[in-house]
Amino acid sequence: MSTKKITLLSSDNELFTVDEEAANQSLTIKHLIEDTEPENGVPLPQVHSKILAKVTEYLIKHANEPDNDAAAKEELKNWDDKFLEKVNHETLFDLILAANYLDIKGLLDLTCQTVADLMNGMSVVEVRKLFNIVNDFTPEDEAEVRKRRKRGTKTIGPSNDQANQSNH
Amino acid sequence: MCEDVIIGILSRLPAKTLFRFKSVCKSWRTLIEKPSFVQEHLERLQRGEGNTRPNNIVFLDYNNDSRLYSLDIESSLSLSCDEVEVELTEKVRNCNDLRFSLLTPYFLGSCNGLLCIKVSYKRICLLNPCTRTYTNFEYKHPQNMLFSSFGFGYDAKIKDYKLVMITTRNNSNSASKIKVLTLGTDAWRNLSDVPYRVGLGPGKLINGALHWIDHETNQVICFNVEEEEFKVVSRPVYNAACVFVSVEVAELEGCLVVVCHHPSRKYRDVEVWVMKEYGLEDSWTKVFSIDPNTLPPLLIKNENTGVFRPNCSMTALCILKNNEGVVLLIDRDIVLYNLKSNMCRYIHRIAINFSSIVTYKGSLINLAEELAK
Repeated sequence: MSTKKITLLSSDNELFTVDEEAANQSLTIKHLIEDTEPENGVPLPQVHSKILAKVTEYLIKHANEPDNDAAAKEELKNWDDKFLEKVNHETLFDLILAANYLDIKGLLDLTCQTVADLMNGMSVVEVRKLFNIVNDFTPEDEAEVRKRRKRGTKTIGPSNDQANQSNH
Repeated sequence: MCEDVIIGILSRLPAKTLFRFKSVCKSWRTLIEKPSFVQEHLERLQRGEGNTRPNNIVFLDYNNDSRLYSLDIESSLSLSCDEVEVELTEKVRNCNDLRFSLLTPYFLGSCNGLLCIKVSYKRICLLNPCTRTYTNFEYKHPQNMLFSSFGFGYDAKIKDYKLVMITTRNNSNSASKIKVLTLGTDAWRNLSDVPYRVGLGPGKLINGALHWIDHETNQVICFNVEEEEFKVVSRPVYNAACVFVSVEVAELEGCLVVVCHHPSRKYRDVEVWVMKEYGLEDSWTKVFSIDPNTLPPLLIKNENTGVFRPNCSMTALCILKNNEGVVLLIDRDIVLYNLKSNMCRYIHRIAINFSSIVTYKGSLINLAEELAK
């Protein structure tokens, strides 16, 4: 079976070639091909080659998603985990932006969930740093928040002795 | 980063974490409190997406009914237990019905992260422990219906919460009486009697229907909250050699789960079944059985005498994602049974006398009044 090849052009003019089936997972690319029928590759001026390389890697792997094969699904899930394992925060955020712009639902879900998992154990200060957010609350605002929180919750003692005994 | 992407990320976080992240900056606070975001978060929660292990276990203090404890399974590693104070007693006293003081507040169910608590024969409280908000409902307890099972659910069609009450009489031949109350309205409505006899625990909400076990036939019975109709859900083919003394329903990633155990055999036959596709009889799958030999002796033996206590109560509270483990309540010990290692560990021993225990998944729904003091 012969498949049509699609060429993608990154913001720094690097070319990437993928099967049409893989490329169509991106609704943006799909619509660009349908609407403009570009001859010299689909121009993606918002995506740098470094990111587009990762995106095409994902598209190729996910081109033939298994429907009912539990083992294949498991394999794909493990692949997804590995895919983002060594990615730094900056690349992860760039991937989210690319997945959003290219409209690739699977990749957007995966990257958003990865960031959410990352954030779950973070403090407010760490989250601000991760998202490059400046704290715009006044000291008065913060004092009010602390006061409200304090009257809501207390922590009662853990039963540590039992916990230690039971790990056998 | 555009707001759509921020929403995509934040809506995957547990409500408790989001409550904390309202302090990140003003625009995040506004976003997290926005009704459309609250709704999106809720829908993701209902679909079982995103939030890893959003299960919380909550119990009421029997001796001091103004207290409610919520245990976050996710942070169970830290073995801490949040105490959310709820001013229940004062309200009970105010309605001058202390003659009912024998009846401590108890849970009628949980839905959309809201706990439905029966405070007295005249009042029901809806409480969201995550946003620490609540609202009270006037309520008339039907006469001569003292020992009833309840269920609490949401009717998406009329956008309102409903309570259903099943009263089984001692006479085993008679059918059970059914009453339904739409919260905020005065009157209980009578539905047709049903030939089922269910246990006292609150119904488990799965797929828009409340589920109980008929304790005579061990069938799963469900009540569709929108249609207000009862029916029997097919049950798994239990091990025929066992006479199951206790069967209960639970929930796993939105799926119906049946847990069966046989106490007199020292839990030799604890089986957990999942209905992978709701309503499809063939999709019942036995996920695991618990090997009682791996339970810590403390749990099944009397601490002082070393004698096995086969009659201690045991219920499955919730099942963690990816079949990692099941959270059990054995008498007053909350225990996590790890399915991969067959190991068991304590999460928490409930040190107080608790009257009622349910699980809920935290939502951001803001009820009218904030918890005082």
